[in-house]
Amino acid sequence: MDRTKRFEVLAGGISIGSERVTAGTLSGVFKDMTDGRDVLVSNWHVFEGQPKKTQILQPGPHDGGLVDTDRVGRLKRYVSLKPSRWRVAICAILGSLLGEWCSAYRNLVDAAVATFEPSDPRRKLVRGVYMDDGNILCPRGTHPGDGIIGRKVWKVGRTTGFGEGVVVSDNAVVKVWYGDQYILFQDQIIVKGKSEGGDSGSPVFLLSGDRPSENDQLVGLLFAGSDEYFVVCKYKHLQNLLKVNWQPV
Amino acid sequence: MQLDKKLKKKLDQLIKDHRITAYSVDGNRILICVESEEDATILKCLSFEGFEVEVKITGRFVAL
Repeated sequence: MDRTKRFEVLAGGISIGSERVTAGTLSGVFKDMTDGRDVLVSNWHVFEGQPKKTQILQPGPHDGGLVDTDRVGRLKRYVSLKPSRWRVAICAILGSLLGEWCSAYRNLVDAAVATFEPSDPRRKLVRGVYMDDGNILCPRGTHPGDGIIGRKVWKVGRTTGFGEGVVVSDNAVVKVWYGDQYILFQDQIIVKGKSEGGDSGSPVFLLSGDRPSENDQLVGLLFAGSDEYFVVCKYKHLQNLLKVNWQPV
Repeated sequence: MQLDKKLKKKLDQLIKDHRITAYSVDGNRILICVESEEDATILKCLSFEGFEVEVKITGRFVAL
């Protein structure tokens, strides 16, 4: 299945990106806890831009998505990957006294939300994720992401499609390269499994049986990786910070 | 689980090292992730009193 093409039905696991980036993966359709609306979720570095202004394209620009014609929404909000302004100000004044607090700033998620405002009215949202056979599977549960070392997980991503892995850590401090700087994250899940550029945003599920099923649980979003491992931010932090729910009907 | 302050400080220093990509503490096991085999060879002698240290070669983590 070609996950980089244009889809009329939007579900997790397909190409998406803001007009400013190349392409990443749509995590899926979530419920916005702030207003009850259905929203699109992926990583911040996939939806990067200005809230209310930046267009979100499906497919992402690298896969041929065009501004206006392929718009599926606009950036709604995101969790900043930098310390807040008040934290920077406090550290500028009291940095020498608060050394550890100021130097130990760490992120919990790389995540953002977009509205659903398609330029083409035929496009619609469906809960769940595209499997490699083109069918949409909708795992119903969620898992906060704690206490899962050794558990099997699976993901669906724009570039590598469906893939399984095993959790090697569920509370890691991780250093991630963003092209121009390292950014530190804490309380992350590290999985032994394959991923490649464009898989950022892939929804990751805990496997409950021998194969993916509706009984599986969303545990987080893939946002970084190396040749044999990938990093997942936890669902519980998505809920707390991004204010979204995975709420299959 | 709250990490011992001294251990946390040590690990926080360690993550600044360019060879180290991640760390985690699970019970009495410390997992240190490094970029290359060479880094693992250099860092395999790391020890923390009362903890078992495992060094894993993960490669550098990059935003995808």
